[in-house]
Amino acid sequence: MQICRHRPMLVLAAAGVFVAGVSQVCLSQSVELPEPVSDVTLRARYEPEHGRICGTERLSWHNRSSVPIDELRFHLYLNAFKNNRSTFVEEAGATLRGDEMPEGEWGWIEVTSMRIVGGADLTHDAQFIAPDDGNAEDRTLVRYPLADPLGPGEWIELDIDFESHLPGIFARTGVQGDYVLAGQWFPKICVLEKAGERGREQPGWNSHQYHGYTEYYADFGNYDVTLTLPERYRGKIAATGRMLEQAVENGEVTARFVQHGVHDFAWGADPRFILIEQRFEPGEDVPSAERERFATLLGVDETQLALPPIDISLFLQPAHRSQADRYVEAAKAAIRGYGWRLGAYPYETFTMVDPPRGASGSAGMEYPTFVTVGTHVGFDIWPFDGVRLPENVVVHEYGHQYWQGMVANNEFEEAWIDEGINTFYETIVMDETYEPGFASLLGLEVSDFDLRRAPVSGGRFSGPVVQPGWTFRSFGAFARNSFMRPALTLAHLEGLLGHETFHRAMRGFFESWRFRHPSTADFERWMNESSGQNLDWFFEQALHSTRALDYSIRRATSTEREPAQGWFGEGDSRRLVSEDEESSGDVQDETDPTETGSSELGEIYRSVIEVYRKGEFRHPVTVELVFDDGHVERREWDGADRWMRWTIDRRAKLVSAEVDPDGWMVLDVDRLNNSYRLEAEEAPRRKLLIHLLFWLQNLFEATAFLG
Amino acid sequence: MTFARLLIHGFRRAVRQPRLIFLAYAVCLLPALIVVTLVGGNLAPALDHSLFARAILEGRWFSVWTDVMGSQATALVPLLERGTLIGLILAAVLQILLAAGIVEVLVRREDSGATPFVSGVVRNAWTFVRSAFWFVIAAALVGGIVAVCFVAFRRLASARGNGWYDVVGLLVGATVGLLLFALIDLAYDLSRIAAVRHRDKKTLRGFLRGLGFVVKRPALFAPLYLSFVIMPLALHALYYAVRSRWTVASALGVVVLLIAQQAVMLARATLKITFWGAEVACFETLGAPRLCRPKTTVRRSPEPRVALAPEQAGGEIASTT
Repeated sequence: MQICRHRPMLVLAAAGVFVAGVSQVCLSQSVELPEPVSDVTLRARYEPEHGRICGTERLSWHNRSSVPIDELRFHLYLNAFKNNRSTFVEEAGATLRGDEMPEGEWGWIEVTSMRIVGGADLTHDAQFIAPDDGNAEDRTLVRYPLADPLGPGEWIELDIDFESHLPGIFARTGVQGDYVLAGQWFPKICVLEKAGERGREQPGWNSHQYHGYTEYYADFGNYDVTLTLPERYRGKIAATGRMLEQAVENGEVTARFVQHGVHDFAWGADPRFILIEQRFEPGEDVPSAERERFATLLGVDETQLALPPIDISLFLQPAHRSQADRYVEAAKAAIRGYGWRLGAYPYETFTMVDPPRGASGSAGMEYPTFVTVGTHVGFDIWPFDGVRLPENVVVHEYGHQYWQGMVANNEFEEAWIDEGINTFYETIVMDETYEPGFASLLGLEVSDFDLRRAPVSGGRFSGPVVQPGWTFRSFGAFARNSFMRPALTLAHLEGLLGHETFHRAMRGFFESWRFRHPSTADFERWMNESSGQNLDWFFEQALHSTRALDYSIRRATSTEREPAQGWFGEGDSRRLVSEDEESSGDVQDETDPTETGSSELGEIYRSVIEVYRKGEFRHPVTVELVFDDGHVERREWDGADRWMRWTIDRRAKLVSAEVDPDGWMVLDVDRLNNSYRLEAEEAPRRKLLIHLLFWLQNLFEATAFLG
Repeated sequence: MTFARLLIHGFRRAVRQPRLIFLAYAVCLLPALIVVTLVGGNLAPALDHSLFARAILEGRWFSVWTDVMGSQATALVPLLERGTLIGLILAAVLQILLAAGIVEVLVRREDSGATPFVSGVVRNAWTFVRSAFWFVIAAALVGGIVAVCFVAFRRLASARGNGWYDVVGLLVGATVGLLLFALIDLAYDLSRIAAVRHRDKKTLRGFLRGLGFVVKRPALFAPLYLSFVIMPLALHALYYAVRSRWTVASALGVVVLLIAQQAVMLARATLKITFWGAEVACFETLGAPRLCRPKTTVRRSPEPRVALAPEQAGGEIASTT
């Protein structure tokens, strides 16, 4: 077995591979590339009539740990679709996000050859493993023992031949007629985590099978990929990175794509694609006033918010031509929104693929510099043209370039880090770009934030946010706990820490963990340090428990005080106060026992306010009390006990009491009980009821056909 | 135009029967009010004292609605689910009974008595229930055809990778569905009018012969039914066009909104009686055929007791017979 023990040799080799396009594929100057853990050179031929990809892979891989490695591990993701005994199908039932796997259109991948360059043939040493569930039928994870361990810091070079059969469009990949979206289509080396990384004590492989709900985890590398397809795909191939060459020969088109500093490579093609190319130009697409606002918010110089130009490519279905501007404008809004808050997008290209009708299984997926979006012609027709689903998908998937694309968390184990944080930023960008953020449909206006909050209102969580993806009770539970609930957690944290502290901390977290693999603990530690507060109490409850946050005003009364009667004072100062007697003096918050119920200054009211913690989530709360003389005061409660009561005597009647008067505690699962106004206002309920009455009358009128 | 005159005639009949209009209005109002009263009682403690509920007055429905639906302090979901189902069943039964009375009033037989609506309900209820049974079967068949149409175009859309096939499928399905539904709906109505007019009971025969009767007169029935469909839709479109300009934000506004919405529903009830009047007039002008009897025995009624008064029907309508 030959192991390349001198990295410079490999660097030179890699340099040779990339020399043709080096000037075009480098990242923008402001951001440094990650050190590649792997250099991947792929050559693949796609045969659309069979949905088959025959490929070769030259993989140079770096043991970046401090110990010798005696095995290599690879993901063979496509084998999730090999049969109905795979862990993916067993868990998800061959369905995902409402899409069903086309019957009988299985997909698989086979490594036909695995050789160390100039060394041993590992092909027949393959051992499929199933560390998560022991499923002997699962073929999505394979290990190759090494006779000679690979030393720390050493590189190994492998030649791999493989054959992939893409399934019918399902779960982010597949074929539908001439349309193909190739994701997870080649043998992908797993992540070898170093000691200390993500809390690991000893270096080792972090490898999981392909599960029904989870996505991926990979190290950064440099990709050089050459794809050969039938000639009809000429100019219709979209892929990660920039296309450097395209040549037609013998009825086939061959295109070469190169991208540094990414952890995956995907591509898609469709002869029907219309290619729309635009450029994000900072000079034209960036309002300077907004930049000033963000500079103040983040406490940075405006020059640090400079955004580089980006080439935007949209591979669009002809039927969706009229929605091209919606896609592109959403992409530009996302480039601004994420770029200002977190940092500039470091790649030169951003490519969007628009799947055809019926290929929604491949829609809404992120790969480095390359995303699939999704729409329907109906979103161009009244009244659905007011629904911003196409924009929402673009913004969300672009956001993944940051969260998971650059901050490359382990999606198997902690999906919330990318899905949750990204969903939080998606709501911000959508709601600041569009009015309303998500939909305006027949008079119903829905912000993106409200849309995301809806599934978690009411609480009743079946598990904590932080747990391996395959341990969630259902896909719905996975989605609520990985997307919506953590997004709300961050919005809540923003309120808790204040806008500036929060956004500066988040920007710092992104910059610090860009091109690395953070864990939940890393995030929590970073936020604690950046904010100067110990937020463990918050994270423990919001991310690691099923506790619901629900504070309510259980009781609020304000009644005129009875005049004081009886003996007051001691010794010589003891005196009898009768009902007729009046005393004077100012009444403050606390009771003066001799104060009578009335004077020329006005009636005295005793107001009693009870705040109640209905949920198990303990959280300090602010309560705002409003009196009918215009006086407003705020009181704090640590929220630890089950309830808190305040009794206040004042020459004014209490009008209302409200928990969280500024409305930032968005984790509160029931905002209706956050406040109590003493005088009932029936207009809101009546408005709701008369609308309900009207709706029901019209619904029941449908039975008129019987009459 | 014959259908326009029929409509005018129907409208005149309707405005002379305000009690029928009120009953038609009440049929949907009653079950809706029951559900709304239950919901209102359930929501009062949660909404009336909540500052957050004010968002409803600001037009921010969605955020309040999600909390109301999710709140453990309310039982909105079961109330709405069960209430709506029970309300639908109740409304359906009432609609059948209402039709039995309406047709009796509009056909005006001698033996209808002093209270034709009540006697019509009593006399025709069972016949109309059986008739409704055949109609539901036919409607289910139409629904099936429409569903097949949708599915076929959906598959085509997937196969061709083009969402416009969905839109075309929707349009084709809706058109086919409307045509077929118009056919069975008109046949259903005519068969019931014939059953009351001639005191016949053979509802299936009446329905089937009614289908043929309608098919043979597309020039008359197509525009007539189209007006049945378009007028309520236009009414609602007008309401939404006006309604969408304002956000009701005060108690007074809520009252005005209530009046506006109920005016719409009252107008729909008026249209409903108008359509019944037009159909009865149409039936009479076409010779009051005995649809529920075997074809061989069909003959003109020797003395059509329901001949339209000239001032009601207009000379042209009478002459078309």
